[in-house]
Amino acid sequence: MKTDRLSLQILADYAAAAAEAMAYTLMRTAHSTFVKETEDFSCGLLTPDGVTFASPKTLGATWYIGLDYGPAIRLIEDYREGDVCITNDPYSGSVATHTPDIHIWKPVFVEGQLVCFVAGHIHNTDMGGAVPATLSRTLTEIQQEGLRIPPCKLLREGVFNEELLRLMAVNVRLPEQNWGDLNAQIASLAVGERKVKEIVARFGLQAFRDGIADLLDYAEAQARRIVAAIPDGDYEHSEFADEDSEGGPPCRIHITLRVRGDELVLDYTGSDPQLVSSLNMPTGGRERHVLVMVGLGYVLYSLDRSLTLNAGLLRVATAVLPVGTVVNPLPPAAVGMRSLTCSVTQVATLGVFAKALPERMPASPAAGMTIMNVRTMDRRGRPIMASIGPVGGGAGGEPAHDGMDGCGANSSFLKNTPVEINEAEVNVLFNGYGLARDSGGPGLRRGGAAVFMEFSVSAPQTMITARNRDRTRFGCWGLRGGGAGANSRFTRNPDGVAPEELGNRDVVLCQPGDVIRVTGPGAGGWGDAFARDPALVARDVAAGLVSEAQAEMGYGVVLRDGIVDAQATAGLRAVPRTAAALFDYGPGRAAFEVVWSAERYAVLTRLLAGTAVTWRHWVKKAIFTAVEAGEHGGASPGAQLEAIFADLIRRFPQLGGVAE
Amino acid sequence: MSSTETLPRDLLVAVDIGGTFTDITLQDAATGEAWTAKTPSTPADPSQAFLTGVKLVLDTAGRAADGIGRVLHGTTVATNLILEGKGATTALITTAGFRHVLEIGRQDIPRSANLYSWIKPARPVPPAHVFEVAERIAADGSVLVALDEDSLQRAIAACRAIGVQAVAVCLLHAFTNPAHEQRVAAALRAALPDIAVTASTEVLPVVREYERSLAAILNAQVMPAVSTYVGRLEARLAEEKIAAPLLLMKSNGGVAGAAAIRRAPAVTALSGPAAGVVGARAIAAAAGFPDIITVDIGGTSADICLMKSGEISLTQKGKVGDWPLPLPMVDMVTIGAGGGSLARVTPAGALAVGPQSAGATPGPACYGRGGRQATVTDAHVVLGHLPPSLLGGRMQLDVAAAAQALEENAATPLGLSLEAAARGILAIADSNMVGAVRVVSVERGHDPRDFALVPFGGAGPLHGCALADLLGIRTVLVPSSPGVLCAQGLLAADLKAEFSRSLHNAAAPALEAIDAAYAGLEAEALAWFAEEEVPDAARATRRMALLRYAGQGGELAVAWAGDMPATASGFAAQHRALYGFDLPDAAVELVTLRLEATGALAGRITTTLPEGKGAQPVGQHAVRFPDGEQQAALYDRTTLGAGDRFAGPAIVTQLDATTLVPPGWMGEMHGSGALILRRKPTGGEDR
Repeated sequence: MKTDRLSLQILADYAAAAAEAMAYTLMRTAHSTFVKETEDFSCGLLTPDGVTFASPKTLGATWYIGLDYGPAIRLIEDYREGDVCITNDPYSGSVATHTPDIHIWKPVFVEGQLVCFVAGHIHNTDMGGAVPATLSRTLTEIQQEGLRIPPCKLLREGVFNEELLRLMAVNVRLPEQNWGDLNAQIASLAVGERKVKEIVARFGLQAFRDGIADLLDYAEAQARRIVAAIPDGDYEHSEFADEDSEGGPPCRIHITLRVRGDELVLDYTGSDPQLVSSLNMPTGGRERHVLVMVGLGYVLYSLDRSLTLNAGLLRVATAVLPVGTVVNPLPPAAVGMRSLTCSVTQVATLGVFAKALPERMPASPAAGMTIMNVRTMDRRGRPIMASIGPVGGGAGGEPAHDGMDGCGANSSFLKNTPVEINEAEVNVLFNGYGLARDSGGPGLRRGGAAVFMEFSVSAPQTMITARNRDRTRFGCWGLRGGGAGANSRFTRNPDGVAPEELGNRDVVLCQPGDVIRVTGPGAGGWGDAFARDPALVARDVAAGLVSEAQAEMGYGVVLRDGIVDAQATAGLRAVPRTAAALFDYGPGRAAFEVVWSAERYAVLTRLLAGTAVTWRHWVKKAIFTAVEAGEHGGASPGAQLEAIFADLIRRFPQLGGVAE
Repeated sequence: MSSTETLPRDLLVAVDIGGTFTDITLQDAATGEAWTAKTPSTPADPSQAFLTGVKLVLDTAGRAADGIGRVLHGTTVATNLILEGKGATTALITTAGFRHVLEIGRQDIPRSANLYSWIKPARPVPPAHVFEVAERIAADGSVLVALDEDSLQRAIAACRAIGVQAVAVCLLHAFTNPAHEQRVAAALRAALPDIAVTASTEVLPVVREYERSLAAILNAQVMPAVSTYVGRLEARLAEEKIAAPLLLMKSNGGVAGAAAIRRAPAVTALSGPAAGVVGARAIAAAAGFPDIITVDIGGTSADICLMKSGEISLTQKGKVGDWPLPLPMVDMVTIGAGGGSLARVTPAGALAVGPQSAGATPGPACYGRGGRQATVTDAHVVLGHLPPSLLGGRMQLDVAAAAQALEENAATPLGLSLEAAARGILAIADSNMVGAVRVVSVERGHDPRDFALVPFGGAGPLHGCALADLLGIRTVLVPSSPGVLCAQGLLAADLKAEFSRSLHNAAAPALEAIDAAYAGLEAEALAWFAEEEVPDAARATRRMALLRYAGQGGELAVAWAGDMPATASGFAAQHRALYGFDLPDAAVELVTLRLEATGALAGRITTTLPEGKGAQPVGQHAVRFPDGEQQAALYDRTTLGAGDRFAGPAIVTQLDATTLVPPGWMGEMHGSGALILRRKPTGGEDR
């Protein structure tokens, strides 16, 4: 290292403060609800190669610590002072990961030399395309997901590219909002640029450059020390999204973690093929793409809180991302809902590390946070479109304490929107907003309770968009004897004469008087629930988090008027029970895996890899249908799939054609 | 803003109760004469030291108790109860369907802890103590569901059954229509007369149910203890036949009468650093510096505040411990860097300073009270910034212990010389403080070089010139008593209150509606003036408006200019100054109307320093500066008179603080008692 440790710490403070100042400006001036109430944005300082070396400490989304702008930066020919570049295209530059995320970056010059970039993104409420707010799981090609802007200049030497602005304005539904957000982003970059110049003035150009490199090296050294303490070996874990497309079979993310000394490989082989829905994660196959590394960042930081958070920490790992799969799709695969899949990869990462370090990892958090959007009319008939907030759940139980209720864990960078704000700005009326009883998985350490939201619609033709719906089939796993959390639910008129279960639907058309209730997934419990202190169970019952029925069934605790009946409790708890497995996946997944075992998946993965990318999702669905219909049911699992596949090739010879 | 009216009783007494000592200042408002006294604090019953101190200072001054016109006091009772979670057992009554709003909060978690194993701070009211009443008010204030009396009676019975000492009430949209909340509060007060009751709209009538619930809860929770405390002080004063009103410091930098504080004690929860800021403003104004940045460095933290034209700006983004408390408070940034902040080497081999602190016990290693870890103060001692004898010789610093602590905790693990380690610790502490100064200045459209720096607090004057050098500031103003500026702040404070109305539902309110709303706020202000017995001539109000571009998340406070277009152009100008752009075509929304009311308190005169006879050093002390060791002249501040000048390197000592004047800086005593330090012109290299 060229920078002494004292200066390094000071440089790190200055750089983080610069990123923080950028975030502050963005927060204060942006228009998108995603920014001002839920903080769905990022900003940071990048090396001239595009690697993020400083991020805000207290604001913004936390996925983007290791974001690499390099490929996008290199798609622009030359940079001049005052330039600002823009992209939202997931298929050029591998920076934007879905079209609503507009990323912009600006070169910072000192004495005529490029010293770094400042950059950031905002989730814009709408970028045009087939559906309001742009995103829907039902979309099948990127072209349906709105306007795409490949990396190009938004400002040339301080002058706006007016043609681009006009092009954007006519392609989106709320051009004024996007214009306001763009101004906020540019203001944020101006703050960042000014701060970088101050830092360079203070440290000197060469020291600044050395310092950046050293900051990345420093984070890497810390990460290596953490990894070196994990036992060498190969660990495997699968995680599933309920549906790979509307009404489709589950989407599987499979990770094989290979730990060798202070290096890791996250091999995603065995994950689903590229999908004809918008669940694909556009990584461009880059071995440290942020979407496949988010979970790793969380795990390493959980293991050591002193970890410096920048792209350097990702150098300990590489990901294997087979092309034509959900983790490395080819165009024109739609990618809008990649956050749902990314959430699954995060839990998969947590799960695979739980196998390597079962004593230190928590149970599954409430993966799958639904973002509720409403398009309706106000009393004067004017259109309203707004996010009314996320509906998620809590954290998994862990060795030392219960999972946090209603928040915590990996998706909690999203703030909720106050009910009073929602009712003032959106024409809906809330019946309730709170924590769902019996949602957290039972355990010695209970899983965090899920959030529920219930509201009634006040105008005709009101469109409810529920993004990221998941976990209505597969719950969040419990660990070391803890139970899985309760599944998520989405219901229309739950207390009416004909309640309608909406499952994982993401667009629901409502009429006046319709009541919508959405409940997030409960997090998994940790440890044996029958060993939990009965007083804590009584407390949870009084708090409205556990019912008396679950106290008996799930915890073996009998309550009389809220007081623990010690004798009855002892009696219940004395009944012998079967020993629990390391993971409790809940009834939905257990039933699924009776058929779709690891063995079947191994064969499926091999078969799909041999088919053309454009056929894979179709073939996958066809095989699922055939298995469900019991075709070749007499054969061993592997032989059954081979036989079904052979049938398909006979019927559709093209399928056996060229594999990429 | 000052009144020509003189009070019949001219003596003002200010009492500042610290952890160890209680400081009392008595001032004769007619002559400006002042006396101070110090007495050990009595934590079990602070009113004891309060009274002892008042008697002591009256004796010292040879004055009688009946000459006292005002008693001013800052209390941390509310703050400490909240921070320690030791407030009264409290229940919350809320709208049916929303009992877990408090538990969920804003759902997000601190970014620095954004992980699987974050622990949510336990809410001040557990979910089992939240009771629902059936009622519903809509966003426009209309009643959708009338308040159900049965559910109200059940909630009251539940509060009684669990034996709470306080109840907070927060119903949805009560800030738009408080009728239900008022009914619930009245029923509680009637049914449970011995219990503290706070309705959310009594403390914070603004939108956002979680934050408003918290404000009501925190207020209710500290109400019994604050009320007892204030009552005890009043009883002690009555014992001594002191009939003067007792005024207490609020978070907004003003004071309020005891009755108002008993009703809304939460307004004192962020008042700790406010008095010092008010004091700094008075000191700077007397020395002719309206534009200042104050840096108040205590043992564990530093508070940084910017004032332009003597104006203290307010924010509603304050927090007490883990809890947001959006009551108006002096807008400042607090960081965990102070004289007692611990230096340590992280497992990865980096040097870090704070936020952990050595506290009052054991304190820095150099205090010789058993502290073995290295603190910022120890780094100063090692470099010679602090002469080994403090408090006029009452305290000897253990230089060897400081050196040993630094050697073991910083120098050896890092492979650095002792001096380099000390300098590194100070550099990190300074860089944290510079970052905070930038937040209040550059990030809000101000150039710090246009301001004078006012360092205070026990450790402030040691860092003043170093911070100024880092920021390009050329003038540093050291108050006459930097370590006990709070008492001066109390004496300088006016009565202050804010009254706001949220206009969240009115997209484009008519001018008549705005005027009517302001008139409503002015009526509230009038009632408050009457309660505080503010004479007509001393009353002042100012209409402020909180604006944003339609759809933005943050508002800016600007003076109401009489109509929307004029106010909006003021907003656009401020938006440009702050963020570098404005949006001429975008609609501007009026979110909140605020009326700031001030009751000027009469008769403050700052002291006049006698003419000096030329600065005479009382000794010298070796200081290790970056360019090498130099002998610094030692000055005793009490011997310096107006106009006395000296050059750095120098160290100015006084009972409550030590000022370091590095080479390249000049010192001059101002007639108001402040010490003005100026950077010698060196050809502009420090721009």
